[in-house]
Amino acid sequence: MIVELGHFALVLAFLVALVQMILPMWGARIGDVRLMGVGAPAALAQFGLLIIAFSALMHAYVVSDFSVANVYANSHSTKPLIYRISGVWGNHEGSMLLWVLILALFGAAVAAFGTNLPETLRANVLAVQASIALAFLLFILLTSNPFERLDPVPADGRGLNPILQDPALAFHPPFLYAGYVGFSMAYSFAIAGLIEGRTDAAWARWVRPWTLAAWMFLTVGIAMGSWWAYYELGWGGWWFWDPVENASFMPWLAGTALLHSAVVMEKREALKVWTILLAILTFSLSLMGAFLVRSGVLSSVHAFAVDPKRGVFILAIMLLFIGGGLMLYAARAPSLRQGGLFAPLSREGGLVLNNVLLTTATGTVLVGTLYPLALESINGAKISVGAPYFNATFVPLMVPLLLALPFGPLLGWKRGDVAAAMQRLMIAGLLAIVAAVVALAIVQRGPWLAPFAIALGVWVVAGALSELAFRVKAGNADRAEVFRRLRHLPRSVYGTAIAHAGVGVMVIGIAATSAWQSETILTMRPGQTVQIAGYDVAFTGVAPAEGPNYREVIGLMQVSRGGSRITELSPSKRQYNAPPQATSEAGILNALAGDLYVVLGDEAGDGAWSVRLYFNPLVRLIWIGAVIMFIGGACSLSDRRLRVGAPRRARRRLPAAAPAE
Amino acid sequence: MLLWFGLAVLTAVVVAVLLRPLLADGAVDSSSGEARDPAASTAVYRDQLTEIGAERARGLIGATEAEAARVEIARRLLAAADSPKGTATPSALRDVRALALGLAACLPVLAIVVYLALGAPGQPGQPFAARAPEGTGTSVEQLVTRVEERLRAHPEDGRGWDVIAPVYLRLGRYHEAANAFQQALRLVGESTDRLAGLAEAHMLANDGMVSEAARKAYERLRVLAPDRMEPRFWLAVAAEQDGRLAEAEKVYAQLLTEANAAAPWRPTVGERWRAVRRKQNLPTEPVPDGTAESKPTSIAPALSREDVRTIQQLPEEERRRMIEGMVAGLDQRLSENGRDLEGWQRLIRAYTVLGRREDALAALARARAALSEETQAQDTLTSLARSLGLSS
Repeated sequence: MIVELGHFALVLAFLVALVQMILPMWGARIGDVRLMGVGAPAALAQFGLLIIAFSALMHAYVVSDFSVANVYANSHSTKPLIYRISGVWGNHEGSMLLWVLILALFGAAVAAFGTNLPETLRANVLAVQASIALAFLLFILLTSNPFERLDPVPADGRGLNPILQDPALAFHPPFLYAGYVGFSMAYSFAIAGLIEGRTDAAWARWVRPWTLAAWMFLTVGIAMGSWWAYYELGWGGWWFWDPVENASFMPWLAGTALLHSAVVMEKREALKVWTILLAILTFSLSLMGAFLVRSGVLSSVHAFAVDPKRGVFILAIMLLFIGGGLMLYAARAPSLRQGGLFAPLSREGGLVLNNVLLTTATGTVLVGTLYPLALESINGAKISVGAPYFNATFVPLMVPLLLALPFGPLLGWKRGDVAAAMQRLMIAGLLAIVAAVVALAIVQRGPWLAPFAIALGVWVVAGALSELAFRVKAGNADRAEVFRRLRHLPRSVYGTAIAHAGVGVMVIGIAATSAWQSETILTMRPGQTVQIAGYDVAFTGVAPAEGPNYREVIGLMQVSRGGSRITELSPSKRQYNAPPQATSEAGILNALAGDLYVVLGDEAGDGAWSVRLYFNPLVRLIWIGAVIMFIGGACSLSDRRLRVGAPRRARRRLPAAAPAE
Repeated sequence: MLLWFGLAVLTAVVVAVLLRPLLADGAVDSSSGEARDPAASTAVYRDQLTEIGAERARGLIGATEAEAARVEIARRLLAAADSPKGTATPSALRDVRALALGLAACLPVLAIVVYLALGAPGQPGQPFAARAPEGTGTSVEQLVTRVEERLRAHPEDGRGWDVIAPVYLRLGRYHEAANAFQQALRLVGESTDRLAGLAEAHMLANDGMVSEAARKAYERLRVLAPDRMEPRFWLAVAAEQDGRLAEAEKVYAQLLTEANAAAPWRPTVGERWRAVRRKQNLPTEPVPDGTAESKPTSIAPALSREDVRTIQQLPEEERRRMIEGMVAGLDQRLSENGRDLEGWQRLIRAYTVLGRREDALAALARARAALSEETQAQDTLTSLARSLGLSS
């Protein structure tokens, strides 16, 4: 009964989305408050119904109700509880349900917390959001219904792809989707703004928290996926420029550009037309990501769902929303008035540079991702565009971006003083040079560009901190004054500095691990010892072991350094029963200086095994940097100014505002 | 019944939520709505004005720029405050009540229609734990589930694997069948049935491709049970899939010649033989036929089909002489040029069939000497010797 209740709730959610799309927009058009008023309760009802549907499916997974086809195909009665729950979104149907659930969550958040928005804007935003939900709900009901039943009921389920039975991957999709889908808010605001002809500074401020939240989730989601690939796929790498990774990376790049251009629009009402376009494009890239992953046009480690019918359906959704959005943009953009003026060397100018570089980078990733697909569809040739292409195109775009990054926050609005900014960044520059020299002295070997990449990372971190130091007049004022200023600094300033420092930390990690990764591949016999990065790794043999649904061979590796034993690593090769699949579990020792990463290869006969060993210096900084960026985003999100405009607060401030100026 | 009650409640709640704003007293809502719109944006601009002051104090913006920005924002503030008020009226749509009624009527009907088209309201949920308790179920699936549970608890129970493996095979769960046969072979020991099952499971799991694992199992089976036809047949299929058509054809022909007419697999093998012949652009008639004679002709592959036919028509004594003559010829040829593994195999087999064990052993020794540099050939000879019972 619970299953059927969930199914019915899904159908109702579809109808509510229909109502939510039509009535509020109609009300905004003819100016009827009551029709517009339907938007908020409808958004909340839609969210509630999808919660019911999602919970019903999750319940079916938890109690292993194999009368549901989706549970039968993706679960098993003996699977641990956590993977029974994560199995809900570990498959195509369930993940689409999660997608619309998050879509509805953002809609409901606008309904509940968007009370500071003008009535018509809110009605239009909710209507556009509902139209997206409607398309995806139709897609679910027609092609990917998770509530399909089986009769007779099979005795037990088919199990979950073993590569997905992993904690990091259990929580990777919800974060990633929160990011992808969160950008739908930016899209809905852009379309609503275009419909109303209202795109001003206030609009930019209203759209900001949603974009920021989506960006934060996407940052963590991508980092989680990369972390999973690092330790599960056993190649010692953390980013593969795989099309599915690119599909999540492109919205991130565009979303980062959007965050920055929205600041300009909010503060100075400049870059309006551009910001609107960026908002549409960012969500378009999210939709394209959904299409690439869900249609199965790619066959990579991520492509689990393969069904051409679904692919065509998602393609239609994608074309409708991208095409519709761009057409509306083309019709309305010429009528948008440009706002404030600024000199090229100013905060605004810096943000324009940021946007130019980030969107160009998005373009290069887009070409690298779609070119192989286009080529394959034209002449059937299967090529893969890998790291060499992206190193040659993407990296050169990032270098000037990172060089310029610390200047941005130090430049004044409208007209900046570059000489003064340079003076303030003197210490950061010195630190960067010292870092390069130290790096060179420590490693004493190529590649020679690597120390400069490290210096770049240090430059960004130190630059972000110098901005804070300058703001609080550290060194120029007494201690009490510095603390007073620290307390009164807006949280968005902290957010900027923290997020930028996170970028720098990540750059250091990337530079170090790409340049100085050491790798040894050899055949080892029991008793043999190999040296890597100062560690002595002794292979003592292999031992078979038996897991709940797999058999494995564990390699025993004694790790010591300078004669003293540090730890024992046990990389293993697993063979799962159902579905039959081999996976390799890497043995990883994480130390301050980097990771020792050991993978057991194939048996080479006579008790010898091929073994791959890597030392990845400072690789953890990549994910630590991502977490720092997330914290920076959260800090900025809590800034007071994003909550301004709620009617009650505004009225309270009214008398105070006038004399202050 | 409970389900329908639940659905009705859910629908009623949703309809009530949607209708509330439509049927609400318009006057209250409209006044707040009118006042709200400009208030929202003016609040933002007022806040920006204060922010300029703070930014100026922190040195983020120059004095003249701050002034200019203030003017910009003030202009926007005035524009927002002057924006036409009261465009939103509660009476813009006269018959909101009719709309509300229509919604209240259509929504439940549509929901039920769509749901009945997609859902299965009559089917109860069947949580795993609440399903038929242990021991009462008798269907194959339930038995399989019970054996599976036992095997999870005792994965070293070879008999369990042995029991469940053929069941998996019949149920079409080929990967699991292959694993179960493998376990049974490891735990219980080698047997021809288990090997045959393992090979078949591997093959079916790969959509009929004779995979490496299947090939290994069949090769072992051929050694253990040289008289069984299926390892020979499937290894020939493997050869065919590898593109070694002539080799496959030879084995098919051999099988057809040996088979008696009633053998149920005869048409299948004949079909494969014809297919292989077609691929080599050779005539597909007549199909090799050994039914006229019951005598096995193990050296047949050495001969062309016409020769075989001729030989089979000869009287017993003459045929034996002719075969011995041919064997002697082969022996002679191999003495002159020993680098012919296939020839040696044929010769050893022929001597064994003719009951000349001493000669067979001698041929084996000569073959080993002649092919001493080729380790693979040595392996082949060793397994041949084992299968013919020539190894000591």
